[in-house]
Amino acid sequence: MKCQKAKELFSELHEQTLSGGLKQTVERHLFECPVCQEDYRAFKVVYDQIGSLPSVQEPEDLHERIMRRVDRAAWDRKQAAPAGFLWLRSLAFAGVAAAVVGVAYVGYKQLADGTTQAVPVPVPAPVTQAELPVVARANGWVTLQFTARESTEILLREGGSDYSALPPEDALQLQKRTLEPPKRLTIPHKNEGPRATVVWAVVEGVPKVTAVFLPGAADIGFEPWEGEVGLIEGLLRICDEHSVIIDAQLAGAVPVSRMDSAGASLQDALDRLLDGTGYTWEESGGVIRIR
Amino acid sequence: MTASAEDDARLVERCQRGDREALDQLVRRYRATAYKFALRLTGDPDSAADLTAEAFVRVFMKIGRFRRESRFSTWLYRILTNCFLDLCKRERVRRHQSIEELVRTEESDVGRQYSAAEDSPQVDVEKAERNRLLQEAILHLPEYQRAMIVMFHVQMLSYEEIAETLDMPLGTVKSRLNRARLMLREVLEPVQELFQV
Ligand SMILES: [Zn+2]
Repeated sequence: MKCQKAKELFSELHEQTLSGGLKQTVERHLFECPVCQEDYRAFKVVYDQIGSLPSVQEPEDLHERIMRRVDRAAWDRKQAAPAGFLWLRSLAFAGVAAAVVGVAYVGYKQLADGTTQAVPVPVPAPVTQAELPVVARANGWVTLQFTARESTEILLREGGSDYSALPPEDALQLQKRTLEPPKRLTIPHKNEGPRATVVWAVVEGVPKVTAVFLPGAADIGFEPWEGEVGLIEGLLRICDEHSVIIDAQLAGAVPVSRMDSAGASLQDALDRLLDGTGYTWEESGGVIRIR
Repeated sequence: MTASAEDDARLVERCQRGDREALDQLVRRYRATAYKFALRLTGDPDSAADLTAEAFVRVFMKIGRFRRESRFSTWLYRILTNCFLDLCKRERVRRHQSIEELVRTEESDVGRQYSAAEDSPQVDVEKAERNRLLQEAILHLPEYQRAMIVMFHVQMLSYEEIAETLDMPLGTVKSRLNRARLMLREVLEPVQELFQV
């Protein structure tokens, strides 16, 4: 048994859930390997210590604080104009106007130090047929180039966790605006934090949603992972693990897929994840395109 | 189903019919658990209170869609975890301070504490120090692993409950938790003599 394998079994050894044969093998390794023996000793101390963190006293006004927020949310919900994004649901039936009348650019840049600064975003040549934004890399930026029709509403959101509808209802709203052509829009870039994130772009009149996956800044190790996974979670993982930008145009229900990242190259990981989902991928301009 | 789970189900049903009093009771029942979880995740009392409040707002907003085949507590943990991940995204809660720096700051803190309360036995100071370093080490974990560690070791959830809460295969939960513990042990290596009790 190798040291790495022995380490993977430390918890189970300590919890006494290892089967007889395996338990003996690990114990034999510990007996023969002083490094693992010392590691395991320290591991057990930490394991047992975590649970002994003292209990905490909640703030006296916690209950009131919670209920005040709940009541405000209830009030807000009542006041909210009904279904501000109703147009999203009728997108499939929206008429398609042909004339290209405005272009907007949104730039994102991964910054290490968290500073925010306005930098002009390089402007690619206008693309006339595109409906969803064209995602491109330029000088370290990721740009979303919107081809707007007359008075086109665009919506940009980020993150979220409930992928039963796209963009997720709990995604943060970044921008919602109507492009009155001709108009060019540039927003300052920002640090996206340590983990991968998704920027969602919705364009009025287009039934699909663009999801742009941006890798996190932190260098975090990944252990192999195998199992059922939602498409979005799978893409987030691939984005982070392989540090790639992914531009996915998605429609309809989000498929559930399988992931087996053990020893997978980027190509393997994408092939496996997209297998059976109806989506395919290709790489162009340093961006993975999923259609 | 345990009596408390049955009570929860009844309260949830009343909430779904728009009964504010029922929600108030759910908050009463779960706020301490939620706050404890949030505090260990964020390491900061104010952020923890905010996170707890935010989670209950989401409970209120989404209770209509809660399917009652899973337990309310499991659902609440899922919401808390999602709120926490969003908070990280917004405020970059993760600390990038190295543990060596923490030890250096802490040496002077301990000195201060100890001279300020000369009667308190050394062992209490060391215990407080251990807890603080442990909490800091937890804050060094990637967010998901942090949530799992706190669920298992502080909130005493089982592997199965964590798998259900995070919607992950059981094997993945176990291997990630093992990985997280190995990482904690590694982060705490420079101060391990404090943990030799
Ligand atoms: Zn070894």
